[in-house]
Amino acid sequence: MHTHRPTDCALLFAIPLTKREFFADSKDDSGKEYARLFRTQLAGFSDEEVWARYENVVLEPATSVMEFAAAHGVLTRSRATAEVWGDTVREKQVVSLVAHWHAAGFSSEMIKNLPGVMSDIKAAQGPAGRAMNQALAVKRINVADAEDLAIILNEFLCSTLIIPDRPQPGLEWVTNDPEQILVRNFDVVRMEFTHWQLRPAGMELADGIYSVAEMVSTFSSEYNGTLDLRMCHSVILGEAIKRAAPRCRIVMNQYPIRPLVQLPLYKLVLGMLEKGNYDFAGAVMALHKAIMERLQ
Amino acid sequence: MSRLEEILAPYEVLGELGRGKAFDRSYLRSALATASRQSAIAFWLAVTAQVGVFLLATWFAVKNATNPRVLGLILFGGCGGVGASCFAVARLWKDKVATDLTLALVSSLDAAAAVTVLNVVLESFRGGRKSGQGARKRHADG
Repeated sequence: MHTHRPTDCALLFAIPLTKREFFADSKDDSGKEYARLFRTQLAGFSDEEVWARYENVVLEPATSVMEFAAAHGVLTRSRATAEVWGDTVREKQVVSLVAHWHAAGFSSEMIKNLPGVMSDIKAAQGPAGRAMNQALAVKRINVADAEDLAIILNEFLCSTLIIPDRPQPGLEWVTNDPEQILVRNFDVVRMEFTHWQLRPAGMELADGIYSVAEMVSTFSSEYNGTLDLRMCHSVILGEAIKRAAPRCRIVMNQYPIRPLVQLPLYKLVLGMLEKGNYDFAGAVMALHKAIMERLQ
Repeated sequence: MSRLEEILAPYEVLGELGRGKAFDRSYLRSALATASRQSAIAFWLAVTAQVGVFLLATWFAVKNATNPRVLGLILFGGCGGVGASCFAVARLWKDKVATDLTLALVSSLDAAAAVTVLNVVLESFRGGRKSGQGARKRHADG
């Protein structure tokens, strides 16, 4: 087992950390989602009020942890692109990435932009189309509302795999996380309904949204470093990397996460690495165990 | 935290690094309707208690009308009790109105607009919109 020190670590931020970056990313044609979602969800607020909220819940924790990390010898980078990610993974033993996960699934806007969606599903012969048709038939309603249709389709796509996983020799994978199931099923839907031009799930870096396959291509099968994926549902990307590079260690999470909580925890992990005899993943697990014990 | 805040807190925009909580209209309708009923009961109980304190104080005052010292104490105590319960009644009324309004909006707006409204309600509940505090300017601009 390696022992890691803060100087073995890198901390990358792909989310916007300046006002200019935030508002540039929040534009509809930016190709980004994180800032745009943040802005859209606070549509009733002025730009200054939105920025004030972003400062409080994202920028302040991010700036604080970057300064702390840099002071302890961690390599820090903001506005991380795919190239920065690839270079850093080759340079440092432990790479933490704070980024936005672009989720799979339907939204009401997507449904509204697919006027023939119901007829396409009813006429489909492939496994995804037939499964969705059956799911809609079970509901026994004529779904005319885009929001309701998106909810029903997403609920179905989260439930069971349309096409079961192929076995991998020597390993047994248990896919039971609803978001993982959603991503797998959504990929099947995308392949079957190519004319819908659905975007895959992926990670938002500073230079765009990258699919899981594109992110995984950074790693050779011999990669044996540690990755710390600080984004929502990072088990999806983490599992894919682990399949491609089985010798690596990955710290990942199944549920949504917030910078306000995650980034102070990262500081505590660095403190443990500095004083103790931990590898990074071990420090994270020990910290979470201590928190759970304290909460009981 | 009030019941309304508890119900709305999961929809607060806090920069989650993913899609965020899915808007669940049926849960919100049900939870807000229950909260509305509970706040209505609490409000009317508070009003009843306030009226009761007032009537009790009046009765004791009349009974002790010839004793100025006791009368003074009763009026002072009665005014204090009624005044304090006024604050409670006003707060409960504000809670009830906010809950009923939120329920009406959640039922009629589309998901995106509803999430915005929920954040506006949360913000106003927490003492109005403030500008960012303690933000580090070094990374803030440019």
